[in-house]
Parts: sequence; C-alpha cells; structure tokens
Amino acid sequence: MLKYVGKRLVYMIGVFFVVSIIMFVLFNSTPGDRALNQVQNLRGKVSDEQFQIRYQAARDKLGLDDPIPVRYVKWMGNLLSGDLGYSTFYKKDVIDVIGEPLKNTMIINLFSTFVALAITIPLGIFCAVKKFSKFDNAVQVLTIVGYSVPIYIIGLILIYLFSVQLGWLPISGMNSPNFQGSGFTAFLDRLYYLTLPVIVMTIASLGGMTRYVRAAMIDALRMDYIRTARAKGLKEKVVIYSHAWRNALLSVVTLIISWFMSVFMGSIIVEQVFQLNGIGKMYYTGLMNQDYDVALAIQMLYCVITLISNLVTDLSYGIVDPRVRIDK
Amino acid sequence: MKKKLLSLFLVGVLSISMLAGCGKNEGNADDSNNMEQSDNNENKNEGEEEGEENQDSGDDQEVTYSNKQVIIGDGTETSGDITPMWTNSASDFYTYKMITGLETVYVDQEGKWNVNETVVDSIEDKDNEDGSKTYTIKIKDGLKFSNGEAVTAKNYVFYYLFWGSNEVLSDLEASEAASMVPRYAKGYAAYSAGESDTFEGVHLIDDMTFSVTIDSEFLPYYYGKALVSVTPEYIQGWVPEDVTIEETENGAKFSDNFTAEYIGDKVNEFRYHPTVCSGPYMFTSYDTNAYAYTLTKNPEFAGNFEGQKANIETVIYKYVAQDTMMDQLKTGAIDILLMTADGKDIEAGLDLVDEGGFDYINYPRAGYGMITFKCNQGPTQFKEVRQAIAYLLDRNAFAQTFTGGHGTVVNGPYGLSQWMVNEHADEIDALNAYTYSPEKAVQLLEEGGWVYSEDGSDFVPGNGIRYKKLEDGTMMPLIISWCSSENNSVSDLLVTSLQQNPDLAKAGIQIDQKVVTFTELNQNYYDGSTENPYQMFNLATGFGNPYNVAYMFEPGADSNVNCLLDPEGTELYNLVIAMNQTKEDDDEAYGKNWLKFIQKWNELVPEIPLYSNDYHDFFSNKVHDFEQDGYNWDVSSAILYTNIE
Repeated sequence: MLKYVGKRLVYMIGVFFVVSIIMFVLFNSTPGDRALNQVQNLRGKVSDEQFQIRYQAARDKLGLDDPIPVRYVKWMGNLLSGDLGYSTFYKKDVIDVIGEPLKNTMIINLFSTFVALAITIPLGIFCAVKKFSKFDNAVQVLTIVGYSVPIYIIGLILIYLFSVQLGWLPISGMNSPNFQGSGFTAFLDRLYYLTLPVIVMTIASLGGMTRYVRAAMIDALRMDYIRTARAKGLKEKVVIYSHAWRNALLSVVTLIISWFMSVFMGSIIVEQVFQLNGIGKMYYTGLMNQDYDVALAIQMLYCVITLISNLVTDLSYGIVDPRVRIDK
Repeated sequence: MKKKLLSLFLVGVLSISMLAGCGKNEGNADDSNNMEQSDNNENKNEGEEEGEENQDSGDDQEVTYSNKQVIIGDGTETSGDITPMWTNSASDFYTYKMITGLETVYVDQEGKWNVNETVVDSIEDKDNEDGSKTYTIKIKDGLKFSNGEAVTAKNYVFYYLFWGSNEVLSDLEASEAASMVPRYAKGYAAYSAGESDTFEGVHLIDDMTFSVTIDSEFLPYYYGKALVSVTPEYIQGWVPEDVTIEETENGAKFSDNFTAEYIGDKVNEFRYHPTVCSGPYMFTSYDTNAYAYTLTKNPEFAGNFEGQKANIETVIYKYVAQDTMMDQLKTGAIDILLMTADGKDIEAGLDLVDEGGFDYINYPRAGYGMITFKCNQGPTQFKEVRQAIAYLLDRNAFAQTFTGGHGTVVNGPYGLSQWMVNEHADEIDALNAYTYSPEKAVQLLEEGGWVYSEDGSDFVPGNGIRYKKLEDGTMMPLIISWCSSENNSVSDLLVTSLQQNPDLAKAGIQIDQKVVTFTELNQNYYDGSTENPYQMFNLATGFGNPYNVAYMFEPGADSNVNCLLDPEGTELYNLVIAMNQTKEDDDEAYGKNWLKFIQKWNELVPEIPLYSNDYHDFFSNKVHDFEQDGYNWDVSSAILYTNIE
C-alpha cells in the first residue's frame, strides 16, 4: 500500500510539473504585452521618456525580457516557496487575492454537496427499488430535465420565483451589506443569502447523481446474493441497505469523493449570477484581465486537487471493496 | 430573523419534498421583500435625530424623511480598493469621492471651477518670471477630519509630497492617478523620480497656509484653478507618526525616515481602510462578499462649497450584476440604480416606472463609442477616405440599434453635458453630421484621386477596389485593416452595418477585420509607427473636466494615437493649445476657441463617433432630490442633497 502510494506520488509530481510547464507556456504565449497593459493609463499623463521608464520597469518586474525557461524556473521556485505571485489587476499578492474567494467557494460547495447527497442517495435508492413505478418515471423525467437545463437558466428562474415574486430570499450576495450581528445571527444571515445559490447548485447536480445511484442500485438488486438474502427471509430494509446499497456504493463512492474534492472548484456561472465572491469568478476575472499570476495559481490549485482526488479515489476502492488490493 | 429561519426551513423542505417526490413548499411567505437591516443608528442622540428629519412640503403631499440609509447599486464591480491610486474602478472612485472633501477648488453643476469658500480663507496668485504661477492658499480655521482632529495646511502639503513621491509611485506601485494633482507643480519631475528630496513647487508657509507653484509648462491654462484643487490627507493614516514634513527654501520635504519600507504597511492598511475622512461620509467597512461599501455620515464635515452636508445617515454602495439589477431594484435590495446604459435594462426600468413606485433621471454620457483611425499611413492617412467611411455608415441607425433607442450621435469630441455645447448649440447643430450618403462618399474618393483599378485603368464602380496613384508612382489599394477586440458587440454591429454594407463594396472600399484580445488591440492602438498593420480600430472614450485633450494631438507624442500628418496635425494641435491657453474666466473666448477646434476636428474626422449613451438612473419613489448628470455633478455630489423616506 505504502509502495503504491509512493509510486503514485512520484507520478503525481511528474504530472504536476508537466501540467505546470504546459500552462505556463500557454499563458505566456497569449498575444499582448502585459507590461504595456499595466502602464497604459500613463499615456498622455507623463512624458514619453517617463512612460518608457515605467514601461521598462514593468517589463523588468514581470521578467518579460527573460527567456521563457528562465521565467518558468523563477515562477516555479516562487510557487514552491509559497509565493503565488502578484496580481496585476488587484495590485496585491495573489495569496491575499484568492484566500477569501476560495473560502467562500468551499462553504457554498460543502453546503450544496451535503444537501445534494442527502437528496440523491435516498432518492436514487427509492427509484431503484420502485423501478418503473409512476414515481420513478416522474423522477427520471425530472432528472433529465434538470440535467439538461443550463444552470444559468435555473438560477434566473429561481431568482424570479423566490426573490422577485415571493420575496422570500435575497437575489444576490453572500450576506447583508452592513450586517452588524455576530455568531448565530451572522450564520443565519449567511444561510439566508446562500440558500438560493445552494438550491441552484443542488438542483444542477441532482440529475446526474440520482440516476447514477439508481443505476448502481438496480445492478446490485439484480445480483444473486440479493435473491439469496431475500430467500433467507431477511427484511427488505436489510436487503436494500445492508446488502444491495453497500455493494452499489462501490461504484458511487468514486463519484462522491470527486464531489467532495470539487468543493475547491468554483462555479463561474453560479458565482456570476448570484454575485458570489468565489474562486470561479476570480479565475474568470483573472483570465479576462490577463492577470496571469492569479489565473495560473488557481489553475495549478485545480491541478493539485485533481491529482489528489484521483489518488484518494483509487485508494478508496481498496477501502470499500475488500476484493480490491492496492499494493502495486 | 424570521426570514433567516425560513431559509433553514426551505433547505429542509427541499430535501423532504424531493424525497417525497412532491416538492410543494407550503412555508410561510412574508410579504416584505427584504430582511431587516440592523440599524446602527438607534443610539444617536435626539438632537441629531431632529436634525435629520426633514420635511418636503412641496407638490401634493407632505413627505417625512427618515434619512437613515440608502443603498446604491452600480453595475461596475467594486473592488474594496477604495483609494483610487492603485486600481481604478469607477464605483470605487465614486465611493472615494464621498469620503473625500474640503477641496480647495470645486467644480459646480455647470462644470465651472471655483474657489471653495467653505475651506479657503484666501487665495493669492502671482505670476513668476519663469512663466510659472504661485498660488498661496490660506485655509480656514475649524476644519476637521471625521475623528475631530484639525485640518491644517500640512494635510494639503502632505497630499503633494506623498502622492508625488517616488516611494509611493514607484516602490509602492501607485498608478499615475496618484500624481494627477502633484504633477502640475514645479519640480514634480525631479521629486517623483527620486532625484530630489524636496518638492520645489510646494511650500508649507504656516499652520494654515501653503503655496503651490504651477510649472510654466502647463500655463497659461483656462482651467488654471483646477490645477490647485487639492484635498487634505490624514497624515497619521498613511505614515507612522515620526514621519514629518519639513519646510526648506527649496520646497517642502519629508523627514529622512520616509521610505517605502517604513511606510509600506501603513499605506497598505489605510489604502483599503481609510477610517479617518475629510468628506461628507466616513468609510465604515467594505464587505468583500457583498461587494459593498458602507459609509456613515461624517459629523465633522464642514459642508461642500454651499455648506451642504449629507442628509442620509448611512450609504451602502454595492455592485449589482447586470442580469439581476432590475430585480434588485424591484425587490428593494437597492434604492438607486446608477448609470444604466443597456437598452434592454433601460426598457425594463421604464416598465418598472410605469408600474409605479419608481422614478428615473437620464443624462447623456460624456463620451462615446467610436471608430478611430491611424492617420499617418495606409488609405486612412487621407482625409477624404476617412470622410467617405463616415458617409458610408448610417450612424443614427447604428446608435439606435446599439443603444436600444437610448443614445444619440455626436459629431465631435464633446459630451452633451458640457456647458460649451449648450452655449454654442447652433454651431454644434451646424457641424457636418456625415449623414449616410454613398454618393458623397464616392464623390470624395474621386476628388481624392481614388480613381484607378489595380491595372491602372479607370475604376469602374462595383468592380473591385479603388486605387490611388501616390507621388512616388506606386498604386495604393483602398484596403483598410481593422483591429477589433473579441466579444465586442459594437464590432459585431460594425461588421453588418459597415464592413458588409454593399455600398462600401460598390464605392470600392474593402475593410479587413482582425479580432484580437483587448490587450493586443491596445498595443496596436498606441503604436504610432507607420509599420502598424492596422489603420482602423473601434473603442470607446470619455472626457473629463477639466477638458484637456492636448495630449491626444501633440505631434510626435506616444499619446497621439491618431497621428495626424502635417500640416493638419499641427493645425489641430495649435487649436487645442489656443483653447487651453485661453485666459482664465474668459468663458466667451474659451467657447469660441473650443468651437474652432471642434469644427476642425469634425472636418478631419480622425475618429467617427458611433453612439453616445443616454444613461438612466432608476430609483424607488422613497428617494427624493436625487439629481446628477454623471459628468459635472455625479452621484458623489448629488448624494449630499438626497433625502429618503
């Protein structure tokens, strides 16, 4: 097991560096002069000579006159020492720029992941058990609709319904501006604002997960050991939850783990519609403004999360399924 | 609280309803739209309360103003970097202006610059032998910052020394916005470059008096007084207490411990949290998650130039996304929605007004979207080509389509809020509007010598593109390279209304479009060399007050993006200079000089203005006395006079 993990870690480091090189080269090959972009507003406000001095200073600071390999080594050295770079858009260190959005994204995603799992797993199991019933058919249709409708549309429809028409929930934001409370009242305020985005994200993920759980359960319920369990006279509840669900879990667990790992990843669309200060929106802003240190830092974060997620998923097979031995 | 519990309930109901397969939510609906805002003004004393309760007895019924809180929504994202010397969001800037005041010179509703008599006790100006001009300003006693500390001349001198310093501009990476005031003072170049530790043109005379010498390079100047419009800075906010200002015969200076390293932490803190303010409002907080600034009324504010102080106790200024901005107004999440420009949003807002409960104001944008030309190379170096293109674009239809009917077309580099436009309305109406006319376009091209085909024979209309025989005998094709940025709806509309206009092809003109990133477009836009691969761009521009466009036409300067060739380039520049150098307060002469410049520009068409938006501010009916024009009198000025029920 340890040997396997060690091997995988070495592989992950290799992949990380390959991805980092590709990303760095891609970002640095995009057209446009970042230094010029930074000092553009000086035109007409300082003399041409002063403008050139500022421009050259910006080039030196960004290291644009160095060859790409040199720039990469410098960037990676800084990255590994915890210096994620400097945001040319926010004029702050990247670490200070992405901290709060990352925290917000995690909060929203954790909420929606728990709610979605709390709904989809029982619903999937219930649909599998009541396969082809009216209820199951209705859920199948609804999940396909939910799966097909863009999250942007779902967001706007729910805003119209819950905020504009019913007035139950706020349209956007993460908390009341100028909110003065603390502790539990602050928590409630945050919850009040996050309810709608969480519902939207939950609905968006209901379709896929419900269908996945249902399919896994249907497969499990067809197995001989289920027939045996029923023949033994076990209660249906025990058959479903102890025998069928535990086996169905094998295929579902990978999905659940990847869901939890994705709590770090922002949803650009949801964050944009609900004005949430999340990492997805930050990434989008970084790309749009050629704020490459921010975009690259987030990109590398996604890379690391994906690699760890893959490792944890593989390891989890061995944990949930005793037949699987991970030692090579 | 009830609403918050409801949200908990809703999550629970959602889960249960999905499980049950019958997702009907029967939770309690509350008719009110907003969660109650906590009120931090409850503890104010009775005297204050009485002072804030105003009554409007005009019109039909008497209205009582609570003036407790107003929430302003802006479609431009706030960043939290409220001090606009580093980043530059318009919404941050408006908020900054609300917390900044006690300026020596102010701009009034008409756009005129005047001495602020609330602040200035006396102002004297003296012309110097070297052409510079020294303003000696004595400020009044009794002015205070929001924390009650006195405002002295040192606070004004600090502004020059601090924002003009090499430490702030270079080491702490402030943008050039920081030097907008200091750079006109004599000795700025040496001081800002770190070559001198004294600022030659700035002197601290006594506790209440300071002087500023404006460099001869910028004089004479019609907007001369605007060059000494400066606000006080709270020194202890920006630098440690042991950093002091010293007066020398060579100008004011900081003590030797004024280094970027020593002041850096304080600067980076105060930049985001300027808790001691000079304006009508005080910075209270910025909420990154709500994209909202909270400002509270500054009890120590002496008033603006009219002595007007803020009426409303708390201002929340927040970003609203375009997709939901009207819903936010409708549900009461915001009270005022600023500067709506999109036609669909304006229509939605007007529908709200029709339904009742809301009102609006509208005002023209001080700027426009445009086509701009490189006038030093390719076919666009010839005036008749630029004019022909102007004739081949139906700008009225373009503006109507693009702005959804909420915009107009201007025929020169001006905004409709400028007083010069009103003063010279007849002459402005008489400018060439380049009304759509393929015939005139062809006529101009023929007069300009664009009469050949590729093989040197006479051009046959509708048969390929035109050529012109240059002085060296070579043939120049009438092909224009157009650089446009990606995801740009103006570019998309230009493709259909100009590039693919059959009349353009019939006239023998070909426009080749290349779509690039905005950064790349900027790079090429500012490339004044004749090797620039592009001759045409589409962008937008805006005008400030003071109206100074000299840098845009200075021959040989990087900022001269049109690069008009001589003699026209120099002629236009001289007109700008004549306009700028009009004697201060001689409005009539300035207006005439301005008009000459506009008329010449209109003839040379270095740019083709495409549309100028008609901005709309929508607000709930509980908001009263809110008037702005977005140019001379923006929201930061208007908010002082605004009342709310």
